[in-house]
Amino acid sequence: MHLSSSQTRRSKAEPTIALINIVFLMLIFFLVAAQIAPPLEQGVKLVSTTDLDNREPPDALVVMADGLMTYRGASVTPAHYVTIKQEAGPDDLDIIRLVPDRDLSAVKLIQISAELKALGAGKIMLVTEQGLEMK
Amino acid sequence: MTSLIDVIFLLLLFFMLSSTFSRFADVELGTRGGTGAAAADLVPAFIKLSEGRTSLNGAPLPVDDLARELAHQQSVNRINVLIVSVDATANSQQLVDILLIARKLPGLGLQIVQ
Repeated sequence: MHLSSSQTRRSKAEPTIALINIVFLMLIFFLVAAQIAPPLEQGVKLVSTTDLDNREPPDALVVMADGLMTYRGASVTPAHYVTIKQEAGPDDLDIIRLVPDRDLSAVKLIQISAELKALGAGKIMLVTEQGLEMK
Repeated sequence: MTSLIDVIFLLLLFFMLSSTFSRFADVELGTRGGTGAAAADLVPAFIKLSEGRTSLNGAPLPVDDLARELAHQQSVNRINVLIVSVDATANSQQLVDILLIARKLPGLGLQIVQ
């Protein structure tokens, strides 16, 4: 009895305030340092570049290394993607963004962009991953 | 107090899982307008891309030296259009590297052929 009472006295409450402080700190860090991103396809390795202007994370057509295309997790054809874009908004076809894998054959990439242009796309932009080194 | 921590933990988890630290950029595939030169005035330079190799006007050249060489050609030979021929073995990274070099040189048009 004596033993158990001494044990209960020894176990104090958790230092809640300190815990909250640290969690708050992490929360603020993630809020400030990161951007919310729609998930890209798993396993796609983006083309790396060093001196372009940053832009927000892409919500765009991902072209895998083998030429398969996915948009928001579902595999699509260029014609299907153009239909989705047309339904989303009439101006969405002016600039079409592609996220090619860095190992995708360049010929295939050109074919896909020609196909999209034939379907009514305006400018084709390639989304790349910006390297961390500064110029 | 405990419920407060719960909510903050939840927020923290949400932001940790949904955010990204990679930085994205984009580059236009193809030309930005043209050179404005008439067809007769075009002085082309020819770049051939194949797997891991680049050649300028038939001579092999590393990609790192390409920007310097093109700027040189531009001032000496007055080239104003870049014809990029893409081999079936070349990948997107190589093509984007060339696009980046070409967009940094003013007054240089770009044509991509297969």
